[in-house]
Amino acid sequence: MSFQVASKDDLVALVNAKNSTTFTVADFDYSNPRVVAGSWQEELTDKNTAVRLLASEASAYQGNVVVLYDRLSLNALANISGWRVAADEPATTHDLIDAISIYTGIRFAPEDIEDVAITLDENGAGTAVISASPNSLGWIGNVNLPVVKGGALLDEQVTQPMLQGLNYPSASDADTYAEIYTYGYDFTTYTDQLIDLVEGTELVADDLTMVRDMLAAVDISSGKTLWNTDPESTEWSLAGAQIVKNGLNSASLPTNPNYKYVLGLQLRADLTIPKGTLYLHYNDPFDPNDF
Amino acid sequence: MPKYNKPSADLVVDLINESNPSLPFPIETGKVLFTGLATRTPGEGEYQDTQIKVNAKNGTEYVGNKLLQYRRIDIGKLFRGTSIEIHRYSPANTSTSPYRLHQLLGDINAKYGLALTTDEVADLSFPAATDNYYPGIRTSKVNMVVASTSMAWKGTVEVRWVQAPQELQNLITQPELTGRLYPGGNDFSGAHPYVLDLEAYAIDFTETNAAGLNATGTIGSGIAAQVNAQQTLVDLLAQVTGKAYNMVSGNAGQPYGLFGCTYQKLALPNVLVPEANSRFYNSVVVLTYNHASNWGAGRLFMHHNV
Repeated sequence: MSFQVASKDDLVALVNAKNSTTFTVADFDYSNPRVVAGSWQEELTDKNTAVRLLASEASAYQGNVVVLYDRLSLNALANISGWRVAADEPATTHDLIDAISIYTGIRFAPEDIEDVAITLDENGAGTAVISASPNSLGWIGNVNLPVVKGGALLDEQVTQPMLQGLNYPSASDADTYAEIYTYGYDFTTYTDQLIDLVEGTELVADDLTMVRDMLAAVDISSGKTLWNTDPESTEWSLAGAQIVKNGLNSASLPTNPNYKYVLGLQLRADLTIPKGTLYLHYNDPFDPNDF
Repeated sequence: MPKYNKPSADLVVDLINESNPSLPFPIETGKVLFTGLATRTPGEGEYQDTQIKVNAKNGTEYVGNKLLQYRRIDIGKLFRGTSIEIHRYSPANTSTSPYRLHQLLGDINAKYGLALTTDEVADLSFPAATDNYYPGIRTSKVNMVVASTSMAWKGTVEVRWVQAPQELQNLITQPELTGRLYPGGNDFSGAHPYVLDLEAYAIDFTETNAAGLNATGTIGSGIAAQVNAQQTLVDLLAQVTGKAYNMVSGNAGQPYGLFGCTYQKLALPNVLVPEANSRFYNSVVVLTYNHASNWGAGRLFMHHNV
């Protein structure tokens, strides 16, 4: 038995537990509950409620019986951790019944609690007063319920559980990625030469050989001896590279934030190794007299 | 191109938000708990090799959970063709491991734009640095293996350590230096002891009996011959400077009273007192004003030839 199940379910379960019976909720019609205090029909009792169970028409039974039991005080819920809900702008307490069920498991029926308007602040937070209806079979009293905005079901809201990623720099996971290849390299030695390259142009002539030589000098990886300026070569060739970026580094680029400047060289599309955009990072030259 | 320098959970959270642009509230890393990380076999036309359950924490806008599928990045594929090298000084002996991988993880993250945590990679020891990858420089390598518990990463990549020169920053950890002081202190704005150091520096004491002084002594002390020799020195000092230098015992601690000060006689040049070395003289008497009174400070250099 549990205080969280619906009031009638719990009441019938109590009957069955005490009497070794197997009644269902539908076997009875229920009178309004009656408050009991100290005694019932001249018998002493510590129970607080009496209700008359009548055999329902659909049942295989006849007659009626009055049972004594305790309705639970809502006030006690204030002492239980977890007594709060998140909901999306509920207007009245009945709007909270589903949220209460989701967050706490307590199954209030609409007839268990009064339907009262809720006042919320601009953040959608506030306090709802949950009051038992006089005719609730399970509850008496009232309690404040903290309400915050929310209550969205992850299962309903995340409609795309098949996430698109995580991604490699290109659509293939079998490339040598230009963006990764030069991420850790420092071209500050060449700042004076690099800073003059013009964004939006193609890397040609002396500039082409200059950048090739810089890469050959700084590179420590697989392409170190392979960088070339051959327009026919499909590997490690800088020929045809476009200067898509040169100047101040930016958080919007996939670049190394430890550097002030970056030169972006979009490699020829038919290049197979490496693929993508090479980012050559550089800083202002170190001046020992500048503190 | 995506950026990889975020904690793995953040990468996955970003992915949820990007793939579900109509969420009523953005998912935030601190408001969810990920459980049940497992590999999965991508179906036809899929590449998502991983599944995980995202659970809403209590007190957030969300409730419940959702099973998600996505791809973990294979670090070996991401760095295809790229050598990961960390240049850092190690004091370790040539025959021992220079570092453990976790010690270099911060350097790796900074240089290569990652945010791997020590929970995500096995903490292997680099082997003794004898692989001679760069001739004449100590180097060694390990395979960095991503733990199966990493939410964003998988696979293995080679990491090489290269011995780098020692960092000055690690050696000079006390950059605030003290002790460059004038005798008696650097604050001349108020009362300051009389500084003796320049007073006699250029005076030639050869004609005094400085040569007769013992190697060390105290003004006013010693046998009569010593005291007399001291007296010739002090007398010349008074005459040349025009100041009332004296060695009267009652004047000790008073202006120009040198009684009780100690001295050393040193041959020049001398490494102990390079400040006294002179191209004109081969000996010096260095008198230290050490009376407890606050009148004077520093030393008198009394040069002479012997």
